[in-house]
Formats: sequence, C-alpha cells, structure tokens
Amino acid sequence: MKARRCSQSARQAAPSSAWAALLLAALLAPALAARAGSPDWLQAAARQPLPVYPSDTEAVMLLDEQVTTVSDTGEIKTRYRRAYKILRPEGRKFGTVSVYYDSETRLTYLKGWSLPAAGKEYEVKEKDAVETSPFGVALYEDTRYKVLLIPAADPGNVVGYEYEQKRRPFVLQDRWMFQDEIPVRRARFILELPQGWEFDATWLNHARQEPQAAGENRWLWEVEDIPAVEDEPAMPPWRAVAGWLAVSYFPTRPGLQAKSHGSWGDVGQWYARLTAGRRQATPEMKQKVAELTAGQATLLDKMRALAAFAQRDVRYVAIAIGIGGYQPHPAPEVFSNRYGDCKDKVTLLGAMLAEIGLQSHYVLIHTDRGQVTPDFPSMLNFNHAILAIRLPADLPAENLYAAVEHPQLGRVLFFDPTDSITPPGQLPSYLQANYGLLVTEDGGELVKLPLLKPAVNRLLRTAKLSLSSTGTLAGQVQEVRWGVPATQRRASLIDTPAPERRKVLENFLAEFLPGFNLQTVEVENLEEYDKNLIVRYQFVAQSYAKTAGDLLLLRPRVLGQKGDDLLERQKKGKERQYPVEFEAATLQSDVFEIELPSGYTVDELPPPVELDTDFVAYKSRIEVNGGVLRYQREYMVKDVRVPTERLEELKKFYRQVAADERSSVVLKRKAP
Amino acid sequence: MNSPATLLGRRPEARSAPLGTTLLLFLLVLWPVASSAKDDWLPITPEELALKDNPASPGSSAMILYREMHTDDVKSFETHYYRIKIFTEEGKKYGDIQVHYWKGRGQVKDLKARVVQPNGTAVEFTGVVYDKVVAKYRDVRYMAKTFTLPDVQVGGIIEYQYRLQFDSMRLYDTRWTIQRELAIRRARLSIRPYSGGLTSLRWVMYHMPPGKKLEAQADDTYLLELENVPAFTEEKYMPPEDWLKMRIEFFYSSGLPLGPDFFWRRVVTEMNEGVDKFVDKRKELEREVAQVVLPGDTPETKLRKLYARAQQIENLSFQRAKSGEEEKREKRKDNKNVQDVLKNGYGSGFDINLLFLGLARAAGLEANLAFLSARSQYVFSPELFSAAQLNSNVVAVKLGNQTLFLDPATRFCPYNLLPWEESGVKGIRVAAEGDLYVKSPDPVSAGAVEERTAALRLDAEGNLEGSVQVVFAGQEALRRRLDALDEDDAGRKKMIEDEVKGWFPSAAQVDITRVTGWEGTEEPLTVEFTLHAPGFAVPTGRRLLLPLGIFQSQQQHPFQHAQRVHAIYFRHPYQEVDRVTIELPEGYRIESLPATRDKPADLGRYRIAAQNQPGQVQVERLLVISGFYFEKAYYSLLRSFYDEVKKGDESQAVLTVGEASGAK
Repeated sequence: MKARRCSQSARQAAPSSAWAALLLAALLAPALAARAGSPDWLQAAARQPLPVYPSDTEAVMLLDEQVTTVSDTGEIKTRYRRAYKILRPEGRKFGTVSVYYDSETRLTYLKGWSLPAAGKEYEVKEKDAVETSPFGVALYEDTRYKVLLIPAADPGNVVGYEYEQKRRPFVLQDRWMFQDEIPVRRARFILELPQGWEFDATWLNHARQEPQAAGENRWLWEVEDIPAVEDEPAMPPWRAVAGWLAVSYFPTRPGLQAKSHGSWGDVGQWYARLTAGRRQATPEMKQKVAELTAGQATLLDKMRALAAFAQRDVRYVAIAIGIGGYQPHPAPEVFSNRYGDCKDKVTLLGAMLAEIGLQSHYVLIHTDRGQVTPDFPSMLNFNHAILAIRLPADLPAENLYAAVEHPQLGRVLFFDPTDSITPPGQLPSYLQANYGLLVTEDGGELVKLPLLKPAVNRLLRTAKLSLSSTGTLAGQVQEVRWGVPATQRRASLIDTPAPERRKVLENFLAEFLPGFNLQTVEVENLEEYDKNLIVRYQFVAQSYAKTAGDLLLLRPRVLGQKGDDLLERQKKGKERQYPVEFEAATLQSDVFEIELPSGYTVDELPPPVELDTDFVAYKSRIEVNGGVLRYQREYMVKDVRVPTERLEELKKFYRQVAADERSSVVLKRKAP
Repeated sequence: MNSPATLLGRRPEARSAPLGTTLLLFLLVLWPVASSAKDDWLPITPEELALKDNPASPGSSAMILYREMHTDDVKSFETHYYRIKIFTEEGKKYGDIQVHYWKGRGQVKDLKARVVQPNGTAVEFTGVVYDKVVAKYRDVRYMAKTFTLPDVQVGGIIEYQYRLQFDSMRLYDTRWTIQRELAIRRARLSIRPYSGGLTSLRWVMYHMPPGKKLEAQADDTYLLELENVPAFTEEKYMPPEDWLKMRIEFFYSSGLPLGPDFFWRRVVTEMNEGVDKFVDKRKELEREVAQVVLPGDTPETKLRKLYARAQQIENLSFQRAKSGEEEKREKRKDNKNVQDVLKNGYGSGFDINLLFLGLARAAGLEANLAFLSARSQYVFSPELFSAAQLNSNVVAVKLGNQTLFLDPATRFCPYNLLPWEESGVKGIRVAAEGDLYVKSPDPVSAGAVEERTAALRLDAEGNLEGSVQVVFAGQEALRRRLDALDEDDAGRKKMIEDEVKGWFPSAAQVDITRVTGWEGTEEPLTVEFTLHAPGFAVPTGRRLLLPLGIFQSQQQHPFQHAQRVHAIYFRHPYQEVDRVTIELPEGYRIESLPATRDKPADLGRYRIAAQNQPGQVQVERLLVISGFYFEKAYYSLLRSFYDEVKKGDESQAVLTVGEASGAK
C-alpha cells in the first residue's frame, strides 16, 4: 500500500534492525557469557514434566511470569521472567531477548541463563547486550532496545531470562499477553496495587478467570497449557485471536485520575485534552487555505483541495519522543515544515478545514482491522489517527462512500490523509469495518467505520482479442479500476520508478501467458486519485492456444485470477483455527471477446458456472456468436470475514473457481 | 573457509543515504587534523531550477544534479556534497537523510543542509539533527546523524554537505562506489593521497566511461569528473552488484612502480611459508597416508581416499557460531599444524584443506593451495593489490595431465566438484615457483542434475496420483544439504516437502515417503514421495487435457521482461531430466499428443516428447542450461529459449473417451 502507517505505540515491537545488532553481537561474541548459578524459578521451570507436543513444535514456554507493582505515585514496576525449552533447531531464536526502554521506561535489570541438558550453566548480563534503535517508519524515536544473546540455545536445553522495567505511563493500563506462537506450559500474572486502588480486568479471547488473592492488595492469575497461535494465511491479527488480559488501574489520588480510563469516553477526553489548542491556524495557513480553495466552486471541492494538500504536500515523517508518540505537533509547525506523521497530518488538515467552515474530529484507530477490542477502552489499542469530517446535511453525497450518519454529529466523513492515494470519499481497505475512537470535545465513542460496498471497489477488465490457427492470441485489453483495486495498482505503479513501470504489467501478464510481447501500455489518471485508473495495453502471445492434431485448445479466461489457494496452504495435519479476513469487499468483472480462427468450429465449450455463498460469489459464461467467443465472468467478495465454521464452504468455492479458470474450449478444424 | 590475512584494511565508503539503507562498516581512521568543509553553497543555475525530469531516464523520482566527494588521506577526512533535484512526490523521500559513522573513531562535522524552492528561494536547515544509535556494544557505537528537511517540494532542490573526520593512525584502502539508486548528472571526485613513507596510492577503476581517468592536480590531489552516471538498477539473475557498479578501488602499495606479478608473487611467498609450516609433518602424514591408501591404488584412487579422509575431520566452519564461553568450555586447542588436525579430529575448513594438501603431497602427488575470489561477491583483479578479494581456498592437485581443483573443506562437497561460487573463478596458486595465477574449471551442467521419475495414474475427473522419485546430484544435492545443515529430521522433511509441493497446484497433496543421502557426500540426495493432484488434467466434457510438464505447472518464466540492462547470471549450469509414465483412465484413449519439441542451442537444450503406449502415455523431458554467465546480447536468445520451454511444458495431451488407437 502506498499509505504510510503510523505507529504511536511501537514500543513493544521488535526492532527491525535486530539484524544489525546481531551482526555486531556476532562479531563480538567471544566476549559474551560467564558461568554462574541460575535462579531457582528457572530451575523449577526446567524440572517440570511436560506434555507431548506435536513433532514440529520449535520450543515450549515453560514459564511466562509478569509481576506488576504499582506505586501510589503512578510509577509501575514490572518484572518479567520467561523460561523456554528448545525442542528444535528453529527454536534457537528464543535464546535472543529483545527488551525496550525509552524516556518514560527505564530498564533496571536484565539477565539471561542457559541450562544445557548436559554441562554447566551459562549466564549473560545487561552489559553483554547490544543496544539498537527501532528502524520502522519513524525517522527518529527515543525508544531503544537491548538485545541479549543467550548462549547454548540448542535443542534439549532450557533458556530463561528476567528483566525489570520501571515506567511512568501516560495511561494506567496494562496488558498481559499470555498466549504465544509456541505452546505455553504456565503463565502467571501478579498484580500489586497501593492501598485503596482498584482495578478492572478484561479477558480477551479466553474464558474469564477470577484472580486468586496473593496477599494484601495483591492478586494472581495463572493459566496452564495454552496452545500455540500458529500463523494461518489471511487470519485476523494476532491480538484478535490470542488470549490476553487487559487491566485498568483506578487510583485514589486525584492527580492521577486523568490517566485512568474506564470507558471510551475517558480515553476520548484524555486525547481531547492532549490535542487541545493544537489546531490553531496562522495567517500563513489561512492564506494557503484561500489559495488552495480559490476557484473551487463547492464546499466539497474546497474540502478535496485541502485534503489533497495534506495527503501530498505534507511529507510523511514521524519523530516520536516521549508523549510525542501520542501528541501531535501544532498545526502551524506541521504547516511550516511540510512534514509530519499521521496525527500531525490530521491536525493540520483539521485546522485548515475549519477555515472553510468544516468541523472535524480525531479518530484513533489501528491499521490492522480487528486489533481494537471494544471491551477494553484504551489508548493502547491504537497506532494510527485519521479524521472524521462533519459535513453539512445539504452537501451532495457525490461519491462519499466513507460517510456515515452520526446521531449527534450528523453526516461524518472518515478520511485518512496519511494515505496519499485514497481520495476523500473512499476509505483505505485496512480502515473499513474497523473500530475507531471518535474524539469529541467532551469525550469520545468507539465507532465502527463502514465497509464499502463491493461495487465501490471495482475492477472491470475488457479485451478484444483474436486467435490465429497457430494458437497466437493478440489484441488489446482495458482495465478500469476504482476503489481498493485502483489504490493497489496505483501503489504498485507509483512505487516503481517510471522507467521500470512497464515491468509491473509484464510481471502480471507472465502469470498467464507463456511467451508474450507487450506492445503498448497506456496508463490514464495515474496521479489523479479521484478518477478511475485506466490501463490499456496490447500484447501478442504465441502458442497461447495449444495445437493438438486438428484441435486447438483455448483457455478463455486469458488473464486474471480470482481463485485463491489460501485454504490449501494450511499446514499438513492441522485444522484451520481462525477465520479468513479479506482485505475488502470487491466486484471484479472480465469481458473478453476472442475472434476465432476461420476454419475452426467449436467442438466443446465449458459449461457456465454460478456459485454463490454469503461471502463470495462467482459466475462465468461463454457464448460463441459469428466466429467470436465471448467470455464473461464476475467475482464478488461480499463480506470481509468468513467464520471458521464456514471455511469448508469457502474452500470448495475456490476449488470450483480454480477448475473454471483452468477450463478450455476445444476448437476443431473443419473438414476440408 | 578462512581467508588469507588482509594486508591492508578496507575503508568502505562513508555515505549519506535515505532511511533503511544497510550498515556500512567503515573502519578507517588516521590522525586528527582539523579541516573545514565548504563554507558556501555552490551557485544553482536557472537551468537546474527549471529541470523537470531526467532526460536520460524520464519519470525518475529524483536525480543527483551534483555530487562532490573529496577523500583526504593526509588530514584524514572526507567531505561530501549532494545536490538533489526532486522530480516527483516519491522523490521527496530524499529529504530524509542519515549519515552513518562510528562514534569514537570519527566524527561528522560541518553538517549543513538547505532547501531551494522551485522559485529559487533558498532556506537554510536549522532543525534538529538527531544522533541515532544504530548499534552499540559496550564502547563501540555505530551511529547515524539523522535529520529531515522541511518543505521539500516537487521541482525543488535539496542540498547537504558534511565532513567525516577520522582519527586513527592507520592507512586503509578506500572504495568509491559511484553508481547508486539515483542517477548523477555531474560528479567531481577527488582524493589527496598520503605521501609520507614509502607508499604510494594506486587504484583500479571499474565500468568507467571510456577515456575517464583520475587526473593529477597541482595541489597533490587526483580528480575525476563524470557526467550522466545512470542509476543502478537491479534485475533477476544478474551478477553480484560488485561486478557491475561503476567504482574505484584505491590502495596503497610500495612506492616503486611494480606490477601485479611482483605484488602477488610476494603475497604467495608469504602465504607459502605459512602453508609449509602448517603442513610440514611429513612422517605423520606418510603414516596417515599408509593407513588410508593401498600400495596398488592408482593415483586417482589414492586422491579420492585422501579426500574422503580429510572430510572425516569435524568441520568447525560449518557449525553454528558459539559464544566465547561456549568455545572456552569445549577446551578445543587451536591446530598449529596438520599433526594437530589429525590428532584432534577437528579443524576449520582451512585446516581441512591444508590437511588434504599435506596428505596429497605425502602420497607423492603434486598439490598446491590456491586462493580464489568466490564469485558470489567478487571477480579477482590482479591489478587490485588487496588479498582481501581472495576469500576462498581450494587445493589444486596435478593428476596426469590434468589439474583437479578440490575443496574437501566444504561439507558434503563431493570429490571433483567445487561449490558453485568457487567454480570458473580466478585466483593465485600458492607455490614457490610455477604458475602464479590459476583459474578453477568452469562448472558444467552435468555437475548439477535433478532427475525425476514418476509412475502416475490419471482418473476420469482429471485427478493425478502415484509415486515419484527425485534424485538430486552434484550442486543440486550440495545446496540442499548445506541449506539443511542446521535442520533436524522434521525440518529437513518439511524443507523438501515445501519444495516439492511448490511444483504442483496448491491443492495437490505430497507425502514424503523416503529421503536418503542427507549426510552423504558422493551419493545423490534421493527423495521419494506420493502425489495426489486433484484436477490436474482439465476435463472438457468428452476429453481430458493433460499438460506434459508434470513438474512445471507452477514454474514462472525466468525472463518476463523485454528490456534488459545487465548480463544474465546463474549460479551454475544445470540439467533437469524427467521421465513420467501416466496410466490413462479406464475407457480413455489418446486422441492427440503434442509433437516432440527438441531445441538444441548454444546455451543449452530443451526436449520434450510424449509417447503413446498401451493404456498409458510416457513423457520424457530434458532441460539443459550449459552456461552460467551470458552477456546481455544473449538476453533475447535466452528469453526465447525459455519461451520454448514454457510452451513445451504447457503443451497438452488430449485424451478422449473411446477405444485405444495410435496417437495422431
């Protein structure tokens, strides 16, 4: 996708530059590791009997313990202990520990151990760690990682580590993620609160468990034998399927209560306060608004002009330091720099829209649909900001598919200025059917963004082709896209240097044509994002139809693939566990006319196909008239989520589509 | 394997780069002398401001209008100056800048930047420069000065300059890689060599435009001016980038005007002393030889046996990296000579090659070590006086009139086969006399063979099932064995299963029934599996259409693009041999079989033939690629060859309901 995704809370993500750190660590490895005694908790974890795991299990987490102690000042100290038994060579990765720290979070302790099945133990300390920065979308963040390599992380051995972080969080909430990519033998969360504090615990993707009292103002939750969450194609995001516990703390001190969020309204209020006063327009901004909207006849056109400015003339650059991970820069600063991250762009656009009389609101969201959990009102859910623009009731609806009626705010249009390709009215696929926090002056509410109808995300491919008696297929194709298919193709073309763009199409044709010559390519409206993207091309493909004696075998589908093998890629012997999540609803059609070679008659035609389910539909039909074969098909994704219990139906659907895509017309040479 | 000691260190270029570029390991440092970078910006011409696109490559996102770099080995600094024109929205990303450096070994000084708007208004950068930790370990810090320029506009120009000041007492080699992801309109590159002592600066230029050379200047610098340097583009199946990019390698050597032969002879002499010292245990070696070979063995049999003996040594170079403490606890002593290698039973790859060298010599054979440039990275240039380019070693043994190049130090590498990267490459022979330079033999297709034999049945619905045996030999076996080196049984099985499954449509089921030869060297790696491929043949009503390329239905054409910039490069030549028998469904006969395709060509051969046998069809397919490097001029030939392959693999047998008859 062209869209830049903004991360406000990437603090727990692994550094993408870990390789760099590991390279350095590897170079310096001889200095690492010393002999020492491992702690009792690790030895106890290593001694426990284990159930039998599937033969492909890389490792098992013997213990995952998180002890959180909250002080009356709001400082949170958390001690983490983890122990793994490595079962297979692939499990060696669990001997690498990556721990973050930043200006709000101190790392006060870090140690790792290895307990070889035979031989003496190893110990590594914080001083042995390599330090590195995250290398994601941000230009600069104050987050750092310590990466520690535990020696002898070999099959049969147990490794473990312990670290402690002290932090003064912006919000008094925590997450205990007890499910992992490997089985977890035992996981434990211990919470200690100051006298008088209260908490609220929410279980996600796991049956609720009441805590055990573990002392005064101390509670314990423990789970055992949690199965691994294994990757499946097109599965929902991790947090939507893995078990975790969300905890909110409620302090007694009035000064801390603003950090405490028990409802979406609380979260909205917190963000409203954080962004207050950031959307003031300077004279220069007002002048720019006037300049951009001059000559624009309608309010909608004016809005589009300002939106385009925020999308394209404000470069995406993220600099996240401290609260800057959440708080946008003031609009004048973003305007002057002409750069900023998602919340900066939203802030600037909001300020500019106000100048033409359009009010707007921040919407906090996550760029993976399903990550936001309505049951857990928290800032920790989000990594992105977009805008909800309030539209006057009398504004014509004109292609505003991303607009919804809000009971209090009236008509509201969701718009993401960070996505530089998707125009106002459309909505990037990852935001559709996704929950976002609509922030208003007096609070906020969680809203579900619309899922755009299939017809809005359209691909229409038409071709006029001719087939020779030697099997050569030649002719011209026109592809018209709008909505998500247009965004996808635009992104692939724009991200490719212009001199190389022809290759994008060649790559596509090579999937379907054995030997071809792409003769011409013409792209219309590539950078006019609010218009249909039109791609026209001509090709010649020799031996497309196969000659076989007096037969000519023609696959009428020619281009494009609607079949999907996502359910065929399931790991052998494993049942699919999770629903399928499509990117977007879509409607795609092919209409191909193929002039048949003279001297041939149609001997066999594939039968028409019509498949319909609650989620997807497909139909194809072939007609021959006056020496011209007309192939028509239509593929529709109606809903973006297919529940697990309906996946067999989906699998069967795609197998039938695949069979239809392989089908051939048999042409026979007429007798002389 | 080990490499010979580097005679001079290397200083990869310091550079600025957009975010996300790779680490640079620039290790230079000389003695500290203050120097200043440019105080002023160079004037921008109206023509530069008006420029809308790169005329040589329309549609480019940006272009370096001017690049200036000066390397000063006297005062030990480098200055860099970039002027970049932004042509498109995408090009704005060049406004995010990082300058990498090693803290404590050098500093970034005089960093300045500005943005020039399309109307010519220049705004100096006054924003924050962040010092980003790329990686830090104890006192070693690899850092990046990171900043972003405000208000970068399409049609505008960004400029920045900085000085990298080094602070060490050593001279290192320098590389200027001139070609990058952006085209350069004009470049002015200069170097001021260190002139003390008995050294002088030399250089080797690669892929430079004709007539371009470094010109000596009155101020003791050398200057190179270039125009219109194209952007570097990546392509599939291209040689390693180091083979292709316009670059200059600088190095210091004796002040005397001595040629490459003198330099390499001196290197060889030094190496030879080391080798002889390690190998000089004649009695022990002869005793070992006597235990391994029989007096009546032919020289080749002896050599084979000694090769196998050398490979019995535990090869530490192919084990996972261990921490210092782990190594300490293993209590392994360093091998000081071949006697230690034999006694300890372990060694590095280099130790193993030296042991083999000693054994061969002790068996009365003429053998020498040879250092080569593995072609995964470099091409050996004798003119470049840097032993660092010789990153691989083999043993050259004279057997009759033949010289065999052998590498027992590579695990699983069979006798008389070199790992692909060591084949067809140049290097030096470590011997007191005789030929100085060597070239290892070119790889041949017979050295990488994949042979598939299948007995399959087709049913009336088009489902195909049966058993398949695949034999991987030579490079094909070696690569898979090395890839699976760190895998357990389950991992190896999955690796093979994933590969084999990838040959068939995704609905196909593959069950691996047997794999033999994982730990072998001389024997092939053999895989047996059962296949169930639903809907493999396409029913049309009365007929079934069966593609002849049973194993190729998912294979992509390797050369999809009409245009090509670089030469074509495979790791090695190869052969694919398929023999498939397919039983026809009950009641079906062959209506038509595709004619045999046989396309012999200079670059290889492709043949596919189907035969009608009672109740079955037999398909034989042969694909041979004879070379591993093809000049760009051969691209269209190669592309059309693969067109033929694709067409042949997609050709279809037509089966129809009815009594058996001969194919038409």
